[in-house]
Amino acid sequence: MNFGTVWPEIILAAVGMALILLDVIVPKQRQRALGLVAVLGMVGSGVAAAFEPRNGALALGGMIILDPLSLFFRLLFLAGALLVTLFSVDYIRGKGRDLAEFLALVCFATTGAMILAISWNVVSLFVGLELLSISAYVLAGFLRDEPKSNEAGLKYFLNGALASSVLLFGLSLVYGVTGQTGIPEIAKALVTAQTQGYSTVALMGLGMVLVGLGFKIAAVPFHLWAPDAYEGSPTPIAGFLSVVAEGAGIAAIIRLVSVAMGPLEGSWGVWLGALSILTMTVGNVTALWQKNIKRMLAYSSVAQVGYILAGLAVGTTAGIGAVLFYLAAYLFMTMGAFTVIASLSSAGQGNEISDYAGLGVRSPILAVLLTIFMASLLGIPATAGFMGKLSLIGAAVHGGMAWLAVGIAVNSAISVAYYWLVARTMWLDPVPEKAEPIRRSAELGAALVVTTVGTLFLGILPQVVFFFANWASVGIR
Amino acid sequence: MSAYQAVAVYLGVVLVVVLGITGVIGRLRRPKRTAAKTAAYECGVSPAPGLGPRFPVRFYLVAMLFVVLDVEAIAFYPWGLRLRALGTRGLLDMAVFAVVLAIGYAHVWKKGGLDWR
Repeated sequence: MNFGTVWPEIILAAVGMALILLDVIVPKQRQRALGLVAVLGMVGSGVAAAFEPRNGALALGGMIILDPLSLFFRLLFLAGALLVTLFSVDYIRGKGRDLAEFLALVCFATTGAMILAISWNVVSLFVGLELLSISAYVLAGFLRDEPKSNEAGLKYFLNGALASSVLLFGLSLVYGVTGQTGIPEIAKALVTAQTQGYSTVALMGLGMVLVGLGFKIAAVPFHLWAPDAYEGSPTPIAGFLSVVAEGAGIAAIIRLVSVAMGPLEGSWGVWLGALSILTMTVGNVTALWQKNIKRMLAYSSVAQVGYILAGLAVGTTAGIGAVLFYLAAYLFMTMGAFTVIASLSSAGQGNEISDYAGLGVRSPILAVLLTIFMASLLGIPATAGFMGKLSLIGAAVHGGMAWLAVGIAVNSAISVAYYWLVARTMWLDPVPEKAEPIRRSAELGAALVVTTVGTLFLGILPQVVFFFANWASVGIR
Repeated sequence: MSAYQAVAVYLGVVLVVVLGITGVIGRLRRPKRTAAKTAAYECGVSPAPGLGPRFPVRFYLVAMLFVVLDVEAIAFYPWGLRLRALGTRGLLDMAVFAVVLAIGYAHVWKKGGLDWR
């Protein structure tokens, strides 16, 4: 076996372990520097990923595939983890918790997400998913003095454990029909199984896989854990869950459903389409009533998952390409929104939307940035979200599923109400009496610059990422 | 009728019978709540047990650490049985595993997880 092809994962896991050791060596008051160690490790892992082969070579006995899709997801998850690291340094130290342990868990969770995305076998895919999930459960409950964080961790854990077992059961049914664990072998065996009339069991397996992954990405009706988990977890982790953990779930759907169960497309195309419409509608309509901005963003990310599922339901190369582009756009705009929230809450500001009154006067920069992120989540032109929705709608129309395009358009109209509520509160509501100025640290500033530039860049000059996304989605089946 | 349709019919019958029995009895009986009826039946733990004797909570920490390291140690047994067949490569793999385990152990130790006081 040749380990050379998984250097990005090895580097990241090693950095996580190094952080655990540094935790007991470096004195408490100097641990701020450990953020730099994590950042360097993630950059190093990204550089290693860029030098990996991307011609579809198999590695580790056929468990791992190195295709453009692997490269895309590795870089996406590393970028997400990097932003989380940048904006958790102050947050976690401000809460008086152990920064090194936190960053080590982020490294391990990201390693799991990367292993999942590059897997070419359901066994290694499941191991990656569990490494991601178990680390994420702990991260969600990381603020163990706060009852809300405990609640978040427990709810995420119970739902996630249930989802994992349902997923595993579905995979065992698929294994029962096909006798294979390799992803291309499953696809090949399913073709024969269909002609021999075994496809009912395969369909049951497919259904359970979709339910299990539906829990992981918080698709309706499996989304009920999401608002509590997002509200209670540390704000950087709410961002991590919605970008890296959900991105990993999408990667799993691409590998398991679009590729491995490709021969059953006639079934899952419609199922995923129905799930998509349901998810975006329920997510958007429920978000309308939210008073807490983290809960609102939780429902908003449920709705965004609905948009992404539309591209997966279409299942064409253009559809997957649109999904990948949307994930990149989603990374910047969601992380940006959570970064603004985190910098406000470390300045002592509450998380209710009404607390944002008069922010346009108290901190014009943060208010402008949050407005940009809300506009992008909404899909206003010149932002990343607009290009993302445009490509999803285009893929749905060309893929013969125009009803999905209509769903996305109608839902975007619904979502105007709650995204704009935040902007209106910031700019038009009167400034409260005891308004304090808001300080930002260097790390938070860096995270804000990256997310803002990313959001605007993908909206104005999307060609580079479009090219990358389409290149990654060609030939994955 | 295929085997699956038979299973579906069976599931349907089970569902109807179970819902029917619970539904009908729920309608017929006169609700009378007593302490014995509201308590968890033999299969459940009492939801609000009385306070027992005090016990040191740190025992849990040591017990959990013991279980974690104990379970990891199981991985050494199959490797030990196939030691010669796995050769140098197996030795190297196991060394990596042991180092990872040792890092966790060192972390716990220095963090004071093994201190009784």
